[in-house]
Amino acid sequence: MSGELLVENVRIVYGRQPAIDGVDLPPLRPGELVALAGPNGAGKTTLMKAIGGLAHHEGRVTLAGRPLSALGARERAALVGYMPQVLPATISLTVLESVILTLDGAPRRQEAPADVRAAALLERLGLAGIALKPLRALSGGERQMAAFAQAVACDPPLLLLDEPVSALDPARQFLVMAMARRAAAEGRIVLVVLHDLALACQWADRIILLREGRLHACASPDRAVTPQALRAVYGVDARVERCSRGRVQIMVDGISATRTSWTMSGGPDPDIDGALDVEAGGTVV
Amino acid sequence: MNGLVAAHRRIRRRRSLLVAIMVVLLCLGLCLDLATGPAGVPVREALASLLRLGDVPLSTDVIVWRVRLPMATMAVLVGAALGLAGVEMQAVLDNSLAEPFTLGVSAAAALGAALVIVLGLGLPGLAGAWLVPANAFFFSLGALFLLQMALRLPGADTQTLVLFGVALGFCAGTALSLLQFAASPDALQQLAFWSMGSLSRSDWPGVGALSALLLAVLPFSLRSRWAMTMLLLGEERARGAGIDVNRLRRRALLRIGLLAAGAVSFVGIIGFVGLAAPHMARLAVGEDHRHLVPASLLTGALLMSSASVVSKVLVPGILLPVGIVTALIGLPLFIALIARRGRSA
Repeated sequence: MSGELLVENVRIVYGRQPAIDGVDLPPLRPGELVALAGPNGAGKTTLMKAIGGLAHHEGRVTLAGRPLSALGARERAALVGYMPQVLPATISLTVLESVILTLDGAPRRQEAPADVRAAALLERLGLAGIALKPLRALSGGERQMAAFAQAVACDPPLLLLDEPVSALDPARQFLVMAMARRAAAEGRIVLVVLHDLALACQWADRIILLREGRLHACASPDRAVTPQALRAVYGVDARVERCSRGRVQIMVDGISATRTSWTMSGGPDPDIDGALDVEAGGTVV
Repeated sequence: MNGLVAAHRRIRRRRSLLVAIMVVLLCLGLCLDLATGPAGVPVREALASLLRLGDVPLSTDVIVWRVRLPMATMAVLVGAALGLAGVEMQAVLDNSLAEPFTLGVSAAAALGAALVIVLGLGLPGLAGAWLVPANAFFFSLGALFLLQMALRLPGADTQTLVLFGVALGFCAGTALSLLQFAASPDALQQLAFWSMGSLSRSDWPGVGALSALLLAVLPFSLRSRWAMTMLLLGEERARGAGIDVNRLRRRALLRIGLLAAGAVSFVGIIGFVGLAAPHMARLAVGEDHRHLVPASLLTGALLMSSASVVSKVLVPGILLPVGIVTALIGLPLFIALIARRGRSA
């Protein structure tokens, strides 16, 4: 099954505060890798959970014309592969067992046994070397790779990856993003939460920028990531330098003087201001 | 790829074999339990009576069929119930220190039993031997009902449940202390003996009731093994796989409560088995509930059966309360297994 993902007027309210405030997205098409970015607390994970049907929300989310919230949980799980941000670090299941477990829960469409399919997947992802390692013995990066394997195991048409590279070194970041890219090239819609805008510009077809639960932009990287957008969304004065093959370098020069709110502390910390004066030469995000 | 699959299948076969070995060991433990006791019946004679082979003195038949077999079967059933409830509780609370009585079920049962023993207050329409277990069971169910209500509170999570359960246990414990304060020396002694956990009260109706409870709960536990294992991968991952985590927790808690209430009602409070059996089973067969659930159930049964044997032979001629012996047996074994795991990690 493949088709467009439509997100219309999605709203989630925690207490009195809307965490997601009426987000409409342009249609996301199969084959696209879309990055979801924004400051801490902007609602990226919450929006992703709403899209995946993992959080109660108002509004409509449809995949190929089928409203995801109206589907049964197992039916929806077959369509949406979700990789959470936090993974348990104490269990002794092996990577292979965790993938087999995921496959066991999906409606069976192929004749090959689950262990054969899981082993083939891990080989394809270059994870055969850790396949028989317990999850608790993995490094943070390896655990993220294992979680990626679990998310793609059932071959879902929509893949939601919540900060899949946050604990990875540059080589593994490249590997995971290349795997996500390949998953998209195979006809899936891949939505990835990323903090690293340079990485987002390098790999994504489009970037969604969220600010305080609202959509600021959903556009191609060169149109979404601009000094004006960085000022409006992150409250920073920054330069965006474009290099070859879509790569960008973002130099943050300071906290924008026009910034009126500071989500985490209610106002810029004077110490941070001081530090920024010292670092005024520019910081790469 | 073939190498990976072969290695994985080898591990699974080894785990299945370990579960089969546990079944054999349990059968041996049961036979040993039947063959031991203060009456000094020879092993061959006891087995002949059990298998109805040849001429066996009537006294042996009475000892084997009326005393030892109900006790030995009750030990297996209680151990199985606690092993099963323990493994599910640890998964539901995502806490390896949890056990079936963590959430106050045993304290509530003790309060129910104390009301009968001290004040003679029990469920109407019941009398005699059934009054104490029935009241203990009823109070355990009451605790279970309150825990289910706590899980339905807005924003309730496992931490809420643990806090509520601990508070519930304290409340029941305080009420029990009050009753003990007011109790006669005779009632106090009965209550202390009940609380220790003893198989000597076992009889066939009790065995039948606990068997029925275990058989009623077990299919549901077996059916939710996949979901419970998914829960180990994290709540979000389980939700992503289409599991209604809250419903899974509520149902598991119901099963745990019924098993714990059943066990505590018929033999009193048996500590340690519900904590140690899942850990021992986990060290043997890993964390996948498809092997872990049967292994934990069998380990619990084996622990209780062994404890029953030791309770009869430790002090010749005296039957020690089995609740004391479970810790004596399990603790060294438990420490040895943990030390071995520490070395291999």
